[in-house]
Amino acid sequence: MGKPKERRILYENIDAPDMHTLDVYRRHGGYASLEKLFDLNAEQLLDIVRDSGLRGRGGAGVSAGFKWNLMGQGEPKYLIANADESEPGTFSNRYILQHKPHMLIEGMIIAAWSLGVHKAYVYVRGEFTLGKKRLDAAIQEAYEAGILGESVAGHDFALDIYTHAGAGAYICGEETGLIESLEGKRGQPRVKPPFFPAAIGVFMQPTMVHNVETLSNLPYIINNGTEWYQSLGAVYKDTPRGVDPMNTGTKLYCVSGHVEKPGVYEVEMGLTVRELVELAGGVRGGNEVKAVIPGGSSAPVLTPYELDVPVDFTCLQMAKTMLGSGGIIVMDETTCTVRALENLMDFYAHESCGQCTPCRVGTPWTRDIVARIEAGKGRPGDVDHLIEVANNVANIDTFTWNTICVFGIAVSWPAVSFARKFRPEFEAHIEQGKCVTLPVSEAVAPPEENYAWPQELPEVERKPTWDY
Amino acid sequence: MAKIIMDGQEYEVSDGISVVQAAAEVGVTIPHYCYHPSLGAPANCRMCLIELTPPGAPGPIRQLTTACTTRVGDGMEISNSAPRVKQARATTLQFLLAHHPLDCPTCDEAGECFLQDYAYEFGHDRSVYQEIKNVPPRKSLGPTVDLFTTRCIVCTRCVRFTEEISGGAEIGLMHRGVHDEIDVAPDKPLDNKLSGNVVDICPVGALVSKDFLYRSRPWFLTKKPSVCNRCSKGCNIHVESREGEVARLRPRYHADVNDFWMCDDGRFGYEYVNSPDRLRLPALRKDGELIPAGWRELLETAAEKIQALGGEQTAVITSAWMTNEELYAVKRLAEEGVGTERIGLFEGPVEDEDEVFPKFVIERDKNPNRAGAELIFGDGLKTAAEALDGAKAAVFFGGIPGAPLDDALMDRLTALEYLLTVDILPSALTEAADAAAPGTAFTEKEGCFTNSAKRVQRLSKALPNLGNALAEWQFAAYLANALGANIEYESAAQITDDLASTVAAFHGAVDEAIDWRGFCLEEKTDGGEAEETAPENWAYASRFWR
Repeated sequence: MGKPKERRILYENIDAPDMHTLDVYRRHGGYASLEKLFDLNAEQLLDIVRDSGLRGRGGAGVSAGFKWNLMGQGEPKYLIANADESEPGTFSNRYILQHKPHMLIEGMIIAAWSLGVHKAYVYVRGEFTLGKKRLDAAIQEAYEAGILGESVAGHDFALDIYTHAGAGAYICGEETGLIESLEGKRGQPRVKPPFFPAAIGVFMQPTMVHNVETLSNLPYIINNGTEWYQSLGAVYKDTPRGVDPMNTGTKLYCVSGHVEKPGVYEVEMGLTVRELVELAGGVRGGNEVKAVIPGGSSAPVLTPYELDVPVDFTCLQMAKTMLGSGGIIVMDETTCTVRALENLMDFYAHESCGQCTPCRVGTPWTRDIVARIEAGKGRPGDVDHLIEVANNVANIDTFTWNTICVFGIAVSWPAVSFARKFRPEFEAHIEQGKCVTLPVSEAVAPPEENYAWPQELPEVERKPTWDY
Repeated sequence: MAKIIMDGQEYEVSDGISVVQAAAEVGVTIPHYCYHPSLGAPANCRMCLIELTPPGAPGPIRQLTTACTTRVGDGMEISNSAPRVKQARATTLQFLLAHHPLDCPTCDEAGECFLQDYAYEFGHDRSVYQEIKNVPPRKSLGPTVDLFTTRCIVCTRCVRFTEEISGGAEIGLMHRGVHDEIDVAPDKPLDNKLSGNVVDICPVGALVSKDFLYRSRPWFLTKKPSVCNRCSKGCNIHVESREGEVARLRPRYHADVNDFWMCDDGRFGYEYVNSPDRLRLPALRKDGELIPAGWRELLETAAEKIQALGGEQTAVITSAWMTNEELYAVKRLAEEGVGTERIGLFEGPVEDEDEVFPKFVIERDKNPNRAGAELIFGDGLKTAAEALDGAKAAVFFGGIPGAPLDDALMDRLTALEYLLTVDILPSALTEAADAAAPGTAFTEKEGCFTNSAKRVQRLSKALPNLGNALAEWQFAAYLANALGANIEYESAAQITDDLASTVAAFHGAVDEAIDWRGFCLEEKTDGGEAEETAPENWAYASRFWR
């Protein structure tokens, strides 16, 4: 069994010159799936996607097949590619837009054909100016080549794709916030129930919202078949109720922070946090790892005790954190965890849409408490106070939230996990009345008190061997 | 009907209503701020969280659910008192109060504030917020409404009102997150005829009426149900008064008439009632001036004059601002006392068109009881000018402040040999009068108006008569008796019953039959059975509408 190594599927040839153009994309096998696609009907495609085990790459990790099955019956239906990639620490979609936009278009054609959609949108993060330019050009090329438009690739199927630039709000990455924004309203998430997009989505019609990465997987699943896709990644057995054991395929891990070679790594799921850090060249200057955020900044943080957790949907969920968007932020021994949390909380306080009470008030409140501790003005009891306020927004222990959308979780989980797992460092700030960076061994609270991990791993049914 | 179980007890409630409404139906309060039955449920305040067990489910669902967005279903189980429900509500209040100022002692809303009430019932007894509070500035949203921005809890009821009910969308939400602020665009203030309603729907003291600001603590007000007199719609209202003066008028819920709303013409159109110029004493003209006199003197001279000039030559002018009961008494005065067919109707303005908002209509006819007058007097009713044409004397019931007195009418009035007026304010009319009797404003009346949809609705006497003023029905009866008739009424209710038994159109509309929802003289026939009606919110209104 080899060491974990990159396996480029989505990112294959992403560095090839002019890969963003139709010619080059085609020369590298692009749009091949369209030849098979139109021989398959909706049920067959649903089976393929469900059997492949493909899970949404945007954050929640919902099975794509499960989601397709929920799609409502009304006409027209819509498809939205969520390219509002704004989770701190996440940057894999950006490269797809910039360097392989045709892959997204191809994936969207597959989803649209399967779901009976004739109008699709790409909601592009406003800051992605180059990505949007390239995507727009790619869509234009696709229209000119007859891949989009009245008859897609010569078949009796019409599909139009429109791009829409966001205006810089994090919350517009939440699917119903995105839909509101797309409709030209304030980007405020809708209440679920009743507004599940698959039933009542954009313009009150059934809508499928997928992350760019999820859609980009579809051409390869169609090309190579479900068996091939199932053979990638890790599958577990006997997981607890509510924990999906499927982690098939590769994942685009965005490794950032204190590693030697930050960047996007496409690896089959199943490797551990430690292995991923090694793959990214290890911690800078041979330093010790202090903290790792495993799935974008809203995921609860992991400590050095938890580095052997596999970075996949199943195991991270069991470790009471999440794979989320795959943004891995590595922090070494020089990091002050209070300062790190303040930075995150500042972001969330700024980005809360302000619609519902707990998040609108709770988010800046937690920020203020953390900022006070960091500034040396913490008071005894502040750590518990912080945990209580954050838990009142969304409770990590009971997995409930009092907010309209899961933004509440994005605020509460990092706050509570940082405060619990790095409690000694927080307390040191309060006691000494100033910012102190403790050595890793002192900064981390002992695992038995506060974490879900280490615990027994679910039994592995299949894991990648990396024999290539 | 749906069977639901709430806190272990079984209830039957209407189908298809929200859990908040269902709870109100059975007398249970589920606290909420953003939800309003006529403005939808954005579920943003997170105050109405309940523990929900869907029909047939083995246990409650993990997440708490908002009661405002949940429709009742048969077999649904609701916990309104589970520990985690109580905790969620308490923490929501903690969040709402974090930035809320403690200015209850000077806040207009104190006493009728849902933040106070729910904090008292569901909240913590102390604040744990130690950070810096947001202090956004107070601002004027328009000619009628001010915003104390610090007090705002961003429930967005006002935003939705201007979008959905009044349609101008003047109020919006600016900024984001904790800096959310309600505001209007710089060049587009909140200036429409429904603007006052946003003050009523504000669950806290953020939106205040400039008219009422700092005028009285709400708990000193006496509140009486009544009907607005500013147009033929007949909006249900509460007259809130203090020490003999009207302090404010506010809408009272009626499913079929005005929902929860009223227009600013009605809401702010009460100032004349409080006017210091109001007529208080009967007066007779002596040497060109109106000199206060006793009722007996006035009635005797009036009877003498009318008899001398001849009953048929005397016009009786009645007013479209009088109640059914007053109109009926005047009818009897004309027929049994004066003995004339010269009966005219004096009326306020009628505009060319209704003012139509997306979900509210201000009617064009600015007379609250034209329908009543037409039904009671029937075909014999002339216009005031027609009835006065060629008359020698007149008994003129006015009572319409600012009513148009055109030249044709004034010429006929000045040509009269004797003019007796019953009015509430000095005007050209009383200037021309030989005798002026003080009447009552609508807040002082007992009786009913009949609105344009033929619904008989009750006014209650919110204020005492001013000075020596007599109710118009009483004055009409006294005058008729001075002229030899025999009319014995002791109360307006007696007239209501008399009217119901003698005028066919009012059949059945006896005093007992007219409740606070009114009495429909004509059942609606258009639309038929298939007509879908919105769920009615009487139970909600009685619990949550102040």
